[in-house]
Amino acid sequence: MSDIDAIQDQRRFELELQTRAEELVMLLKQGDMPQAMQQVQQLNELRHQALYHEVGKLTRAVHDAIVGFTDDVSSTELLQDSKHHIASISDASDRLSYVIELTESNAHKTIDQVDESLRLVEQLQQGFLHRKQLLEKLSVLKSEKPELADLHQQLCDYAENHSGALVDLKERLTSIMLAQEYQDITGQLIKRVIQLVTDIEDELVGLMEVASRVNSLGALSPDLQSESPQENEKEKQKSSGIEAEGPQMAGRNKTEVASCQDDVDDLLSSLGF
Amino acid sequence: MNKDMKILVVDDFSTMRRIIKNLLRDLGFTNIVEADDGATALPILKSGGVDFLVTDWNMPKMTGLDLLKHVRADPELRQIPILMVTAEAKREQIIAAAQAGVNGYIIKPFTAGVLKEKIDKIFERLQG
Repeated sequence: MSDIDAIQDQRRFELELQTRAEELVMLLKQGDMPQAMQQVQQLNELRHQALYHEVGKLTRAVHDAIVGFTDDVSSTELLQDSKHHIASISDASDRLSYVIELTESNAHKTIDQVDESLRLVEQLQQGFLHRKQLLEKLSVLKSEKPELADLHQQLCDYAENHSGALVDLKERLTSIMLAQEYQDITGQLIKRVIQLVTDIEDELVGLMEVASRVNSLGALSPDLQSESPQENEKEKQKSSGIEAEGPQMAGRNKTEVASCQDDVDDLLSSLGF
Repeated sequence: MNKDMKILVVDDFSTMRRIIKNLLRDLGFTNIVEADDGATALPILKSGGVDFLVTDWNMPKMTGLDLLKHVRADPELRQIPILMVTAEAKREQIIAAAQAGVNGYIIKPFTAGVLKEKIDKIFERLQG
C-alpha cells in the first residue's frame, strides 16, 4: 500500500471519528442515553478495526520480507504457509553456522601450513649451524693458505645475510598464524547474529498466529490479500532464468550440489562440455 | 619462571587454542593442556598439577569469568595465576575481572609480544 493510500485511510478514519463524536454529543444533549452508549461502543469498534488493520499491514510486510528471502515463492497465499517460509529463516542460521565451520577449517589449514613452514625454517637453521662449523674449519686452513682469505670472507657475509632472513621469515610466519585469530572474533559475532535470527523466528511464529486470527475477523482489506508487486517481480525472475544462490554448503542437499571439482568436471562432461 | 610448568588453555574456538598453544611453545612452554569451556576446564584443574591458567571469557556453559570465580573460591586452586585473553573489552568487564582476581588481561586481537609481556609481568609480580 502506498503512502498516499495510507494517508487517505488515516483521513477517512479521522473524519469518521469526528462525525460520530458530534453525533454522540448531540445524543447526550438530547439525553438519549441508550443511543449514546451504543455510539460509544461503535466508536470503540472503529478504533479496534483500525488497530487490526495496522497489525494486518505489518504482518503482510513481514511476510513479504520472508518470502523475498526464500528461494521458493510458489505460494502467494497470505498466512496459509507462513510457517513454511519461516522455516527458511532457519536456513539462514544454517548458512551462518556454515560460515563459522568454513572459516574455522580454513584457519586450521593455514596454521597447518605455517607449522610445516616453521619446521622447514628450523631445518634451515640447523643447516646454517652446520655451515658455520665448516666455515670455522676453512678459517683454520686460511692461516696456511692466505689466498683463501677472500673466499672465506665472502662465505661469511653470505651466511650472515641468510641468518637474518631466517629470523625474519620465522617472525612473519608467526604473524600469519596469529592473523588466524580473526576466526574467533568473526565466529563470536556470527554466533550472536544466529541467536538474534532464532529469536526473531520465534517471535514471527507468534505474530503470524495473531495475524491469522485478525485475518479471520476480516480486518485485512482485499487489496492487502492480493499478490504484492515484490512477489510478482520475483516470480518473473524465477521463470526467466536461474538465480545466483551464493556458495553451496558442503554436505547439504547432497544430490543437488557438486561437492568437489571432480564432481563439477563430471557434471560438465556429462552435459557434453 | 619455570618453563616446564603445566599450562591450561581454555577457549571454545579451536583455532584460538591452537594459536595460543603455538605462541606459548615459541616462548619455551611445552607442557600445555586444553579445554573448550569453563565446565570442562574445572575437572582438569581439580585433578591437580596446573600451574597457570589462560582463559577466554565468552564461552558456552561456563564463562571464563565464572571459571575465574570458581578457581578463586576453591582453597585448593585459588593460588593459580590466571591470564584472560578475550574480545570483551568494556571497562566494566575488565574491572569485574580484576575484582574477581585475574592476574592479567589481554584483549583480542593481540600480538605475540603482548602475550610474552603479560606472562613475564605476572610471574615477576608473583616472585617479587
